[in-house]
Amino acid sequence: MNLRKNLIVLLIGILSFTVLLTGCSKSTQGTGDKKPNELVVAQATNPTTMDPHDTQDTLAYGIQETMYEGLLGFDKDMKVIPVLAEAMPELAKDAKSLTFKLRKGIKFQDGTDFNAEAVKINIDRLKDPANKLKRTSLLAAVEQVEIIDPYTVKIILNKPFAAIVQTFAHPGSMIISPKAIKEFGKDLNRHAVGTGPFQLIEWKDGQYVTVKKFDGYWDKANLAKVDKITFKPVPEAASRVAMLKTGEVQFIYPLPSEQIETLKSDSNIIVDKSQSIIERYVVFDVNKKPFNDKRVRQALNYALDKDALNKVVYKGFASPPLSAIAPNVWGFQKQEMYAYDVEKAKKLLAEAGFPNGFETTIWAPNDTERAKIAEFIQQQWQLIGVKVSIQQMEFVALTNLLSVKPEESKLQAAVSGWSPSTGEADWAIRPLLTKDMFPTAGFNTGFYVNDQLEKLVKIGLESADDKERLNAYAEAQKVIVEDAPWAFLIVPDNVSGKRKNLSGVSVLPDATLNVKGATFQ
Amino acid sequence: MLIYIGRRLASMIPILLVVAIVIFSFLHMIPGDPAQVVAGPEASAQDIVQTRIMLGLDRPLHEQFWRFLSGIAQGDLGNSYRTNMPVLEMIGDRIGPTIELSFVSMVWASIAGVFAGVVAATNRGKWQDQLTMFSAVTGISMPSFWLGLMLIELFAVQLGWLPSGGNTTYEHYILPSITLGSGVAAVIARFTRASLLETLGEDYVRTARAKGAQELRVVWLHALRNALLPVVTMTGLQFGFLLGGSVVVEAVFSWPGMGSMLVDAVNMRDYPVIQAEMLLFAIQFMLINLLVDVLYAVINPQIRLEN
Repeated sequence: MNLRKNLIVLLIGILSFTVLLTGCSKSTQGTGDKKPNELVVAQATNPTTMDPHDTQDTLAYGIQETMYEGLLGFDKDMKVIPVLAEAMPELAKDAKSLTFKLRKGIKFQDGTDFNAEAVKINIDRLKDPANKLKRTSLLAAVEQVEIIDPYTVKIILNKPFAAIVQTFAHPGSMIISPKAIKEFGKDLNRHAVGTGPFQLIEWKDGQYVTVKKFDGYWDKANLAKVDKITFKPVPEAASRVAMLKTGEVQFIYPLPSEQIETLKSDSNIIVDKSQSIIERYVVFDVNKKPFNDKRVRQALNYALDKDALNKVVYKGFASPPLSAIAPNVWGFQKQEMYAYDVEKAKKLLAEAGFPNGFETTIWAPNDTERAKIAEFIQQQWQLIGVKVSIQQMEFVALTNLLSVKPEESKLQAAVSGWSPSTGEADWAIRPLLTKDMFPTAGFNTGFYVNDQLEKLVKIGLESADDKERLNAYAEAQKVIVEDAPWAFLIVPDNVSGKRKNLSGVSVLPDATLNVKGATFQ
Repeated sequence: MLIYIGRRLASMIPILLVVAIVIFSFLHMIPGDPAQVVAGPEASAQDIVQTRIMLGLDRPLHEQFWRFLSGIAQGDLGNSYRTNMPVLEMIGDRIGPTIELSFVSMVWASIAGVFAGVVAATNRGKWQDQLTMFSAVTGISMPSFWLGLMLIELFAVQLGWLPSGGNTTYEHYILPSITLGSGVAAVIARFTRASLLETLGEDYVRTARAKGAQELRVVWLHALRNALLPVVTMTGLQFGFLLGGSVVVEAVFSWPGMGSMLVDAVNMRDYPVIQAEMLLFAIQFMLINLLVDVLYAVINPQIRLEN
C-alpha cells in the first residue's frame, strides 16, 4: 500500500518534469548575451592550424579569413574578386602566365610592408615541397615568380592552366607576413600575422580561438565593427542550439536540419541558409555489372524522387540537382536532369536485361545525413526491383576502401559527394571523372573514362578565353548528365543560426564562415 | 608499507610494456590511413606519399614501435598528426579539466551515494529504502546524453540559471558534474546499502546495540567503517573510468577534456595522441588500484598488504 502510493507519486513527479521540459521552447531574452561588441561563434570541431598554406579543413579557413587575405577572394556568391590585388589579373593568351598589380599602402599586422617581395616569398614558400605544406599542390602549375616592380608580380606557369586564377582566390594561398614566415617557420600553425581586419590573441586547443580588432587595417571602409571574436568548438549540435538560445553564443554553424524545428518558433533567432557548392551523388563502379550499362545507371536516376529526398532528409534545406556540378560553381550550366519516372526506370532496366531488377550493396558513411540518404535510396530503388543492402562504415574506413586500384576495388555503389574548394568547374569535374584521376592520384573512385569528356576538360583547362572555357564546361556537363556515371542526388544548403541583433555574418557556398563584417544592432 | 608500494610501482613497468605493444598493434590493424586523413580530402597521391614520409609511417613497423618506446623513455610522446603540437603539451592542456570534473563528480557522488545507501539500509523495506533504490536504478539506467541535454534545457535555456557549456567559471561545473556523477552515485548507493545490510547483521553490531550504544553511533561509527571496504574498491574503479574522460558528457557540455580529445584523435587516426592517451589511462588505472589497496589497509588494520 505504502509502496504503491509512493511509486505513483514518484511517477507523476517524473512525468511532470518531462512535460515541463518539452513545453514551449523559447529562449531567454538575451540574459546570456555578451556585451554587444564581442561576438562568440560556436562550431562543430576544433581547427587544426592557423597556417593557411597548411590547412585542409574549411573550419580553420573560416577563422583564418578574419586575419588573412589573399591576392583574390570570393564574394558571397563565389565570384572571384580582387582583394590585395588592385584588379583582376591579366592572364596571358597562352594561359601560361599571369600578372598581378598590387594595392599600395598596406601593412601586415606586425608592421611589415605588403609588396611584390612579400608575394614572391609567400608563393615560393607554398610551392616548395621541402616545406611539407598540405596545400603545395595548389601551386603545382607555378614555375616561378618574377618581380616586375615593387607592386607588380608576374607568375609564370609550367603548363597552360587557366584555373590558376581561381587558385589565388582559394584561402590556401592567402598572404602571410614575410617577417612572420622567417620568424616562426613551422610554428606558423600556432601564430598568425596577416593583413586582415582581425589579429590573433590566443588559441587554446579544444576551448577557443580569440581574435581582436586590428586598428591598422588597410580597408578603412570595412574596419571591424566588433572588438573581439571568439570561436568555440561545440561538437554536440543540440548543445550548440542551446547556447544560441541562451545567448552564450550569437552565431552557430553547422545547424543540422533536425534542430531547425526547435528554433523556428523563437523570435530571438534567425535561421539563415546559403546554397553550398556540394554535389551529392551515388558513385557506381562503372566497370562492374550491371553498372557498366548506361541504361541501368539512367534507370537508377529516373527512380529517385529528388524533391522527396529534399523534404525527407534535408527538411527543404537543399535543392534538387540541376547539373553535374552545383549552381554556385563557376562554369555551371543548367542541364536537363532525370525527372522522377518509375515507369521509365523499369522500362530501361528491362531493356538492359534486368526486368526483375537486381541486388547490390551501397556503402555509406555512418553520419546521420548520409545514413538517411542511403535508406531513402534503398526504399526508392526497391520500387523498381533493385534490392539494396546498405553497408555503413566510419568515414576514414570508407575512404580507405575507395582508395584502391580498379582491379582491387570491391565497390559497387557508394553515397558520395564533392565540394570543389576553388569554386570552379575544372576542379569539380577533372578529379572525379577523368582517367588520370583514378585513386590514389585523384577521386575517380568509379573508374569512369570518357574520351569526349577528356577532350572537353583539356580545353577548359588550357584555354585562356573565358567564353571558350564556359562552352567546353557546358558541353562537359551535358555529356556527364547524359552518360550518368553517377546517380545525381542533391545540392545541400549551408544552414546557420544567429541572434536577431547580429548582422554581417554568413556562411559562404564553400562552407567557410564570413564573420569579418559582424555587427550588433 | 613503503616497500609494498615500491614493489607495486616497479611491477607496473612490464605491464605497461605489454599494454604499449597491444595498443600499437591494434592501432595499426584498424582500417584507415592517417597520412590520407592528414593530407586531406583534396590531396593528390604525391601529397599523401609525402605526408606518410613526414609522419614516419613509411618506416617498418618495428622501427616505428622502437621510436615510440624510446620517445616515452625520454618523455617525448611525439607530435599530433592533426595539430603538429607535442602530444605531451596537448595532454597537459586537457588533463586538468578532466581531473577537475572527475574529482568534483566523485566528491558529490560519493557523499550522496553513501548517505543514500545508509538511509536505505537503516530503513530497509520502508519508503525511504524504496525511494532511494528506485532513484538509484533510474540513475544507472538514465543515459548521460539524455540527462545532460535535459539539464541544459531546463537550467540553461528555460530558467537561464546556469551556463550550457564550456568550463570557465565554477557555475560551469554544476550541470556536467551532476550528469557525470549521477550514475556513479547510484552505483555507490546500491553497494553501500548491500554492504551495510550485511554488516548490520554481524555479531559485534548486535553486541554494541545490546550494550546500549546509540543507534547513530552503531551505524556510522562501527558498522559503516567495515561496510565501506567494497565501496572503496568500487569508488576507485569508477574514478579510474572517469579519469579516462567521459566522451559523452564532454561532447554535450563542450568540456575540453581527454575524452573529446580521444574521439577527435580516433576520427583522424591521430596515432600519437591515441597511443599516449591509452597509456595514460592504463597508468591512471594501475595507480588508482594501488591507492585503493593502500586505503584498504588504512581502513582496516587487520588487512596485511602482501604481494
